[in-house]
Amino acid sequence: MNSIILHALGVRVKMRIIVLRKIVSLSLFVLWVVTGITGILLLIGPLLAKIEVYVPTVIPGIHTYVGFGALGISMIHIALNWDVLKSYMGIKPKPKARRE
Amino acid sequence: MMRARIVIAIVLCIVIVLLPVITNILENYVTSTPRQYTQPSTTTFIASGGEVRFTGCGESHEGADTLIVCPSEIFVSEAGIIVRVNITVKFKHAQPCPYSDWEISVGTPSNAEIVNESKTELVDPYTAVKYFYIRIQGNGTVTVVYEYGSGCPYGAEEGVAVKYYVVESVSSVALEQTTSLTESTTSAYKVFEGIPNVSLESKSLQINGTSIEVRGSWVCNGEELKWRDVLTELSQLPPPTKVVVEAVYEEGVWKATKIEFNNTTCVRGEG
Repeated sequence: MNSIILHALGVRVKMRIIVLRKIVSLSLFVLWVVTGITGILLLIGPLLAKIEVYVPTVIPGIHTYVGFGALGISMIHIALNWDVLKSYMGIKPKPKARRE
Repeated sequence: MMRARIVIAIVLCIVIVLLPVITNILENYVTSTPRQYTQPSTTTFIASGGEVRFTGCGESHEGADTLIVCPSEIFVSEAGIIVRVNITVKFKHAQPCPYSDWEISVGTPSNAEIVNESKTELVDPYTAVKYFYIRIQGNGTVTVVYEYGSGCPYGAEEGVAVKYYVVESVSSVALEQTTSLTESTTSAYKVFEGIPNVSLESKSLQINGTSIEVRGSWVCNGEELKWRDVLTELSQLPPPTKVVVEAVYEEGVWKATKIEFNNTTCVRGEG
């Protein structure tokens, strides 16, 4: 009985993690696109100014806030993929303690 | 283990996301010390044998920053009157910015002469100020230009034209008052010449009917004197001795800044 409950709880936790992975990956993708576009605008801004086309003044603000958003969410992304990241670095996972 | 890791990551995420917001709030808090701005209204005063009238400020806000020049129109009843013009630049972004070679310049005036031009001073990360004195000889215009730093993506140039006129009756000129912000009151400056009538009680001297205040400490030919000593010396001059007084018009009164008499030059000190 106990093992069934534990199994059910484990499945619920895994489901939640899958949902979290989805949200984190999609958010990170959107933020990556926005940061990239605003970054390009800031890079070519001085060039555009020479032909009297000015970058809107909100762009640096958007770039900063969205960039920090991406940095924050990437922390969760790292936590979700920590074991994979460790294996890429050649760190072997510790063997799980066997239940008696 | 996994859950603990995710909880720590979420906390870190919240902290990082809030970091620019917190920085912004702190920056606003630090720079929110109330600044004393004066509203430059239309000002009229009688100068020695002449009259001067100012309007409010001219503004240019083509790009991200704002150039404010006060006054935007000057009316004088006689040529030769010197007027102070204040320039303020309000930056959208805190200085120093990556495009920091911005510049405030005063063009060549027509029918007038720039007698003194201050250096540009950054009073806070968002405000730069500069002023100049202009001796008006006839009707004309002087242009003040603020050039954005080279490569700045938020603008190229802001410009304000200050117009000045020599008119017979200044008081009859109808002025359209504009309001804006400026750091200090606009003032005029004039040289008075004549036989002084000294009054120690009112700490002033009168030349051709105009009262000029003499206050604070003075340096006369290298010697430090108080206002009382200067006025006493002036009162003891044998008549008819002419004196030349340079005075600035501030807070509704003429204030002496330099007095010349009998090969003696007195300049007002800091105190």
